[in-house]
Amino acid sequence: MSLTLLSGLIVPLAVVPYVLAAQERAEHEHPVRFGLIAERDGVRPGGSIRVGLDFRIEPGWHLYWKGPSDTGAPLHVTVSTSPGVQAGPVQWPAPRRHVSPGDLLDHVYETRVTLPVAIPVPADYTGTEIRIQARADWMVCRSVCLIGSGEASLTVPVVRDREPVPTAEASAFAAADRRLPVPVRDQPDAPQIRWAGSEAERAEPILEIRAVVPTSHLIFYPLSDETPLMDLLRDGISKGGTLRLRLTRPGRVAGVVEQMPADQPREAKFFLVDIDVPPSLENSGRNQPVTPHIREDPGHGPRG
Amino acid sequence: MCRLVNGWIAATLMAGLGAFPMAAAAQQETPKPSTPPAPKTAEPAGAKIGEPAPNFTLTDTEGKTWKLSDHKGKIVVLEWFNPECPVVMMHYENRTMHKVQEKFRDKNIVWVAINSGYPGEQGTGKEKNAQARTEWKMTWPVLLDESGTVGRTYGAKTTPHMFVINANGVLVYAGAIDDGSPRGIGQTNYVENAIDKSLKGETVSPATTRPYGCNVKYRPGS
Repeated sequence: MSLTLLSGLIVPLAVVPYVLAAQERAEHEHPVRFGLIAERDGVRPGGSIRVGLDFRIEPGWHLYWKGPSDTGAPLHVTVSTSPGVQAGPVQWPAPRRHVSPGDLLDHVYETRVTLPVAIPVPADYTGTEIRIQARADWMVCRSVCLIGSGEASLTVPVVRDREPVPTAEASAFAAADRRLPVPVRDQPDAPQIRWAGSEAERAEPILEIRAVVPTSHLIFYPLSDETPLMDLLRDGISKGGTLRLRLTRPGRVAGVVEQMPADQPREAKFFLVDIDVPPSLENSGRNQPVTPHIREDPGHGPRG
Repeated sequence: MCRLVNGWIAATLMAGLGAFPMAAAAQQETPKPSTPPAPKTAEPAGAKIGEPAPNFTLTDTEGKTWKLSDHKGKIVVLEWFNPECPVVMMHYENRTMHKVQEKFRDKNIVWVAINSGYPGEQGTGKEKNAQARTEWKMTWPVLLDESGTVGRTYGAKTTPHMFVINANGVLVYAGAIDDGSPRGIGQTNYVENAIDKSLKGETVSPATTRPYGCNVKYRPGS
């Protein structure tokens, strides 16, 4: 591949096309811009490239992440690729808590969010480029809500004569990575999780998540409607390193735990929790700590 | 302070459960100095599946008083409403609420829309709601709950958010209108299912679903 041709192919990557199919005329009024970005300027056969579904959100507005919220609707995305390559799962950075009047608790993205998707390219891939298309449907709210959708496409050159280098958008991937969860298993600084039983005579099960490092707060972001949380608004954020989630009944607890260290640097870590709480409190004994079963498959794969 | 007020409102509503004519919503807005402390653990106030639906009295866009306890012996559907919410608009463009009611035309179902938006928020006010009612040919009343008291008692979070009360006055369904999303209406209408099961005397399942839609525009700071 000649250098001239190569640079010609790189240019479209730098100038990311932001498309708002549904609201083309209202582009300047709608608070969300959706586009596809690439982490590097090319991909080698046998390698992998990350592309990102990139949402730029006007200040004051928010999108909803894939897990449950009291209001709104989860962001919905689909990714397709040209023949010969297949996109991996969409990765969802942890959201932020957002409480609106009426004690309504939502889990949202503000300002900007990038959902990374890895696309491996087979070693025997013969093409000169791969093409990625994405569609997103969202609800965006501040005090009012709007529905939006967008489609975007991106072409990434397949390079054989050099190593791909980071694009100007690589920092957006780094920002996403900082909020992507890792499974709690095998992490030395991951919080301990135990079944705390019930503190009073009342029967509600309590799942205790306790940090083992100095921590200023923990936040629980639920991933599934199956999780029978009693009062996430009050239980979902801790002062200090112990979070106590009251459940209405035993069941599956799936979510992301944000752990904010008390020490510098104050960079939060995110852990994926997906456990089954024992079905019977009586069998396990009141106030006896029980290690809940941690699922082998964290179940945080692609969500449509 | 916010939680104190909420706790007090919840307590008032719970107390009003047995004897139906409730205190006017306006009275509940301003707690007296003797406000009892909020309970330490905030329990979900008011409406619970399988329990009697809390009574309430509101005024509709025509100025008429509407009281839940006047409709004993009938299935009652409460539809949380905001005429300017795009998800509500989607359902009205598809006649979702009309279609459910048309299915049970001969069954004497009572259906009311309730707007719990605070004055000045999107989609609030008598005029806007009366206009929407005319434009969308709503044959059922739109009740104004500007203090948000009834909305909070029922735990209404979105527009739409649907509640079905059976002929015995028991809350049997709370959740989404259907299994759709803002991208489009769903295949299964949960309210239709709840009415159908209630008419047959069967247990309603699902009894709860996660609603989708705009947040209810409760009073800022509440």
